[in-house]
Amino acid sequence: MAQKKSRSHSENAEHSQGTPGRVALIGAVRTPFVRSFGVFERETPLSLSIRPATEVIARTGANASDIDEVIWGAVVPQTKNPNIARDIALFAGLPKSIPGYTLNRACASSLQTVQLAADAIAAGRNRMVLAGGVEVLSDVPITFSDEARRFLTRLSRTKTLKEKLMMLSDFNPKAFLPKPPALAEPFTGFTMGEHGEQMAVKNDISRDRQDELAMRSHHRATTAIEKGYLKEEIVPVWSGVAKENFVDADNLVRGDTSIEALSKLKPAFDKRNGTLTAGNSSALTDGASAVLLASSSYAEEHGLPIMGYVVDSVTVAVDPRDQLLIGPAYAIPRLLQKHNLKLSDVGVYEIHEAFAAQVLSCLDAMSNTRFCQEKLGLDGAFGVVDPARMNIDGGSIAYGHPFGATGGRLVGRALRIAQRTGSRYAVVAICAAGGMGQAMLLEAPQH
Amino acid sequence: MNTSITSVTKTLRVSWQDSVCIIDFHDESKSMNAFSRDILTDLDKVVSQALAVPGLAGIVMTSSKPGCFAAGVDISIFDSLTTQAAGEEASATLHALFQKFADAEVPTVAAINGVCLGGGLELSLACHYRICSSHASTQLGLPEIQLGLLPGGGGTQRLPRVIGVAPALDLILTGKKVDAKKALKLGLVSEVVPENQLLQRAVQLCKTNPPVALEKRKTGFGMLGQVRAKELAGIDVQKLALETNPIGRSIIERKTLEQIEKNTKGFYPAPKKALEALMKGLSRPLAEGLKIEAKLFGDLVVTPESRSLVHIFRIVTAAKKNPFDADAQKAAREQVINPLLSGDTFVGMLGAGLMGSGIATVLSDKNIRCALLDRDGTGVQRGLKNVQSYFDERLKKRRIKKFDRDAAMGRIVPSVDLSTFAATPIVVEAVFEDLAVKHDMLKRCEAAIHNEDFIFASNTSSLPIGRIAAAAKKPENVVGMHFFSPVPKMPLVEIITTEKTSSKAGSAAFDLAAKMGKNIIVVKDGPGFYTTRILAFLIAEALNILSEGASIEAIDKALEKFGMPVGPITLLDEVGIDVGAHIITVLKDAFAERIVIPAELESIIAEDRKGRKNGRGFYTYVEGKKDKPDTGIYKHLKHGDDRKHFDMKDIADRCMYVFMNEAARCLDEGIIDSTATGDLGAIFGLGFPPFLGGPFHHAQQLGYARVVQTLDELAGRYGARFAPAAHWKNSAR
Repeated sequence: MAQKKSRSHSENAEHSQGTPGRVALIGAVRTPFVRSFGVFERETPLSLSIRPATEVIARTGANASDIDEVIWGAVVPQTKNPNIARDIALFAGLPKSIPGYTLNRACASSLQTVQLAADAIAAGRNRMVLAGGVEVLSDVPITFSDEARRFLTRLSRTKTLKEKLMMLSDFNPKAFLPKPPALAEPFTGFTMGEHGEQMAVKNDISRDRQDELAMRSHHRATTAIEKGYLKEEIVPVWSGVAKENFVDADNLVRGDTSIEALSKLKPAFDKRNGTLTAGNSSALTDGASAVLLASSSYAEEHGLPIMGYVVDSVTVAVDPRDQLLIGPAYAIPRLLQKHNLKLSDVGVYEIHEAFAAQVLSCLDAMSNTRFCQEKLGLDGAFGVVDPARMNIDGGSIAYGHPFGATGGRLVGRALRIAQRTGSRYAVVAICAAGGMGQAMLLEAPQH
Repeated sequence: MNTSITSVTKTLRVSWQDSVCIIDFHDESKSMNAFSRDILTDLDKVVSQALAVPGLAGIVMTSSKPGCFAAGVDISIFDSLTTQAAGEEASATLHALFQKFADAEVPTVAAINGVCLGGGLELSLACHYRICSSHASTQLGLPEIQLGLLPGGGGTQRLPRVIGVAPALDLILTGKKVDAKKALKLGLVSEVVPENQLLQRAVQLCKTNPPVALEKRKTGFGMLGQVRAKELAGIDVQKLALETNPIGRSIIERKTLEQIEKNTKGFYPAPKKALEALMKGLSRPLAEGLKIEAKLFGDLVVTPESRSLVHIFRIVTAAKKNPFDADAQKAAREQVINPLLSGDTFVGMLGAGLMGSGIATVLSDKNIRCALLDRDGTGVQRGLKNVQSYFDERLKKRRIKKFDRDAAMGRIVPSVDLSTFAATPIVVEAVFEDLAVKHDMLKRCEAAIHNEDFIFASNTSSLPIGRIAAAAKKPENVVGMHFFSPVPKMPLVEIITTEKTSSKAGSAAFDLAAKMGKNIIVVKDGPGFYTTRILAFLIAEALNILSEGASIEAIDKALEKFGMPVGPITLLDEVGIDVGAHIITVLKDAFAERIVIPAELESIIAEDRKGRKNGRGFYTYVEGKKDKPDTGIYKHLKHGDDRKHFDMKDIADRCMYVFMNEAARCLDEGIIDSTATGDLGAIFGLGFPPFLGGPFHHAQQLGYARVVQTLDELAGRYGARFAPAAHWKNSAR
């Protein structure tokens, strides 16, 4: 424990001094990420969230009463538990004194919960905060059409039988067909996949490069699993009517995938000319992640493990009609510049893989002189992210992408890799619907 | 108005509002309001004075004591009722007092907030109107049957007249309590109001409603009297037909008698007498009914069964007190219990088998978090399934809501890795009954748990706690917490302290078991502690009788006839023959000179007979259900298939005397600290018949001289295990 007490020295004075100290990340765990409509079919966002939320507290030995806030991310709107963060504390039997709120920053939701936790701790408002997020696409609310909704709410307000009968003449049975939620961008009308296709075209990302990235993601993930790197990260889930599904591993990672196999897949979104396939896109996934943060002074005082520190993050947004998922290409350069860091100063990049085409678009943009001059106002190209430092243990194409939970996974993975490789800095970057992007700078404890 | 009415006992506060006299029953000297003789005399005087006040507009009987209207008659009164006549007279006195509320020419209203039991409810029933608060503490019932009595304050007469025969029988014969909602549905109260409006509403009732005595307002038969016209449509016609004519009532009576026979097996006289009082009263005027009730109450109050049940009530109440010193209690609360109650942390349950998952179930049910750990995913899965089905069942029966079930499951933290236990202040282990396994788990807990002062509670049923603690870094934190299976149903926890166990560890185990709603005995360490040890002697004796030539069913029947819920051979099958044999081996090391086991047991075990769990035992099992005795057993025994006749009483005497004698030896050795502990353990842990009050109470009722004499005789015939324990000889002197 001794090394945990020696505080690392940062150039950034505002983070190394003062009473609360720095923002320490003391635990990060997640459920297995699994294909939606499968083994977690019986789970709800609440039941799944409780697993990593309670485990991260239990394993670190933290005193739950000292948690000042639960902040949870969930992207598909929750009708059963609209403020799932508070319900996690209540339904897990945690101290009833822990407040909570729930947010939606699309796919960057749980990364945002980590940043808000860090803000509250850095400001000295909170000692310890439980952050995280969830997505159970197996349990999304199925809604009626607007027409049906208006009919039902009006019907409930009618008082007399006559009024009710009158309304029946308006009845249109077709309006009552349930509408499954579409993963479409409300402002553009295109689905995420269609936006990915647009980016592949605009940046001229070939099918081969996409498949190559996807394959690397799966192979690296497989190696990480085989080497036991994920053991500390994953908490098992017992699911099903009789809790008969014991799930202690991700089920989307495919170590046997190859370029041949990937190249045989048909385009998933633009069926005729598209290059995005189910193989080089992240799948619909169920999962939850939890991150426990505290001020370094609190963590040291209570002998809690310190995985690393949250330094800063940058959030950007662009016109969704242009390149919806290009955000990281803006956010990463700004973040590093702000902290006077070069791309090469960072040993670990965890860049969310929504689509291989989107990741490659972002990487290409950062090394593209014109993009960097026009969009980032730089003199020349920002630079090339070393593929050997990016998604070292694989990425979302291999593990899957439960929207609200991915940020929590990336933060924990980034710091665990940093510790393993002896890197000081790690960057996590996520593209999000609405044309947003977020990048976070983390620092591993220095020994 | 007249405010000069004063209460001698200072438990009754009289106030006036708009000419309505409010009698507030509030005994500040006790935790609960209960009617002592003095208070009853006092109440009689107060109500008589109030009734004499000119211009009186009504009387409201209420209580400002939080959570308690009246818990009934003070139990010490029963001690003074040593003859039938005294009991009958006490009942008649109560009738006369309550009748004043019924006969009042102004409205009388019982305004009930909190528990309203026994005499408290009977007083309320005598009032013209009853209303209650919607507060969660409001509970109404007539629990006298649980003390081997019948409601002697008019309950058997007025309750059926108010709510109908069948519901009244249900309440009186089970002694169960109903909440405000149910009370309203039954017609036991006419209104439910928020507690802050209760008194106002009661006063208002006095001003707007006429005084209507029960017997004057009946139409046909009582039931219709309190049914409002618009509810008439909803009346159960069949119920009405059954209850309002003599033939119907005789059907109810016959059915109820059958039910009583089935439930009491003839061991308890009270339900029959209560039924008799109720049924006889129905066809007579109230006053005559009350006389019958008083006579039957007098009959019951002197029965040994009632004495035993009152004795149990007393020792149960006394055992609720944490026996450890105040400093230890405080430390245990701060370090262990409070963090569990707040949800900061959880109990670490090692082993997710039937025991482990049962303990987790009860903890979660009582709002305490529990981490449920087993070796692998399948082990945990089995445990989780048990917990889930318990709450699913409760959901199905509508005892809980869906969100209750979800939260109960949320309080369980399943795990296959001890790292989950990092912050737990107390581990309960229910792993395999093997010392090496227990030592291994203890060491691994010591490595995994950050707080090195965590408490390690072992749920072993026979391994001495001291031997488990021998491997501990801190043996003072090792304590025994012996639960009984199935944990949600069995009401006892036996806490075992070694010479080294700290009072803090003992107190933490005690408070945790209390939070789980269990009766608790604290005993000293030793082979088999108290309960396992005395049970082993009983089962061993049963096996000896078997090997001497008795049949399996004769032995079981003899003990059932004695009053045990199951016979010892059936019990051995339930516990598991292998488990039983293991326990006997442990005991044999310690009590070689006394415990005698037939040698044939080994060849029976060698046949892979484990009892119910593998469907092969002393009985055969068809689809998991006990069927006939397995005559295949007999080939191992003397006389083979040619079983000899044994006298039932001889069988029961041998089994029960060896059991009682070993219990007394536990007292001699200081394993148990008192006869009360011995009685509690035997009744709630082993199913010793409650109507006998426990082995020590039973011996006292038999007479110690007779116990010593019988034991001497048995010792002469069967050996040293029957040689009377010192406790009997000392008591007989």
